[in-house]
Amino acid sequence: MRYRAIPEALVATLSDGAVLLNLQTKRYFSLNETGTRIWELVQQTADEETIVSSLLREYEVEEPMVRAEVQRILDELVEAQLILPV
Amino acid sequence: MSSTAGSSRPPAFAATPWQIGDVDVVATDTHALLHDTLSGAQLRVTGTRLSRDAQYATAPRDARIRLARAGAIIALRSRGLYQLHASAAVDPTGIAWMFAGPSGVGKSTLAYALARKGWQILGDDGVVLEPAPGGAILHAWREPLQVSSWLASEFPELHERRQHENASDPRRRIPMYAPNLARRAPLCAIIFPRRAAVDCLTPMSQTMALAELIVQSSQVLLADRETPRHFARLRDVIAAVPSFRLEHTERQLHEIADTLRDAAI
Repeated sequence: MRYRAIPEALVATLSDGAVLLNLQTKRYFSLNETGTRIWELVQQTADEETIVSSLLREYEVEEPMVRAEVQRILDELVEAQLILPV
Repeated sequence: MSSTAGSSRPPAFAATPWQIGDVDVVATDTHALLHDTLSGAQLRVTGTRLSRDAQYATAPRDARIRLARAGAIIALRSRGLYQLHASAAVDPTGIAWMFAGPSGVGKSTLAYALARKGWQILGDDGVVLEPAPGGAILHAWREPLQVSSWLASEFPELHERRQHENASDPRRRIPMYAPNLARRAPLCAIIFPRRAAVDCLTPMSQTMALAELIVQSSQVLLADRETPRHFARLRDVIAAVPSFRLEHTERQLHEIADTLRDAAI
């Protein structure tokens, strides 16, 4: 599945992650380093499979763990109305 | 890294309502319209210029004060100065320590405890943040210190001002006047206090600090075309200035100056 970020989302990247702000809902969302990387990959209009394979190349972790983490964060971003499935 | 919109398209800034206390704020690309929900009076802020509607002149004094306060906050924002829900005190070396957090976490109490040690006060329930290269300058936001009368056993001088206790305030606060006031000072650190059973001062992650600061400065992020710039400036301050979580007991009412001194080392 592919996702796109909503235009009302602002992101501030910091040394330990990022803070996302949804101007529509006035709610914020903080991301750790992995979450921030997933957000960056969503920005590049990557789909879920591309995000998983990118993270597997970048981090030394097992695929099931990466896949579960990507799914969890994408679900949370959808729930926070910061990204939409396309 | 500056803040960016979530996609290549520009952010959509529809007229989005925000609130500053009892004042509703609707920002558009050209101005902000402030509506006092209790009196119906309105104030328009265009850049730093405030213009009143016909009802403003006849509105109760409290309503005019509410609107003027909210109007000043919006006008300051247009100049890149951010009013934050925080207290702040200046130590003997001339640097400012800011306490940010929701009502009841001890912001005013800790500032007052420092005032009793001779520190200068910049603000009790508000200060004005000016991002600067490599950090920020804090400016005063003048409102009397409000200290709960429940702390009279720790601060005996509260007994003498019992007659000023606000009976309608659940925390029974008493306005106190700090003997030493500061006008501005460079920001040294941001402290996010929380009442706890054990005293503990720990460094806070930058993402956590920015997220908590946003909550205390929602009007900074009033949704208009300038919002990405303001968000990026708050982020730059958090990236440059250390933040701490202070879990505190009543012991800090007497030891906070030493605690902060240790943090500075």
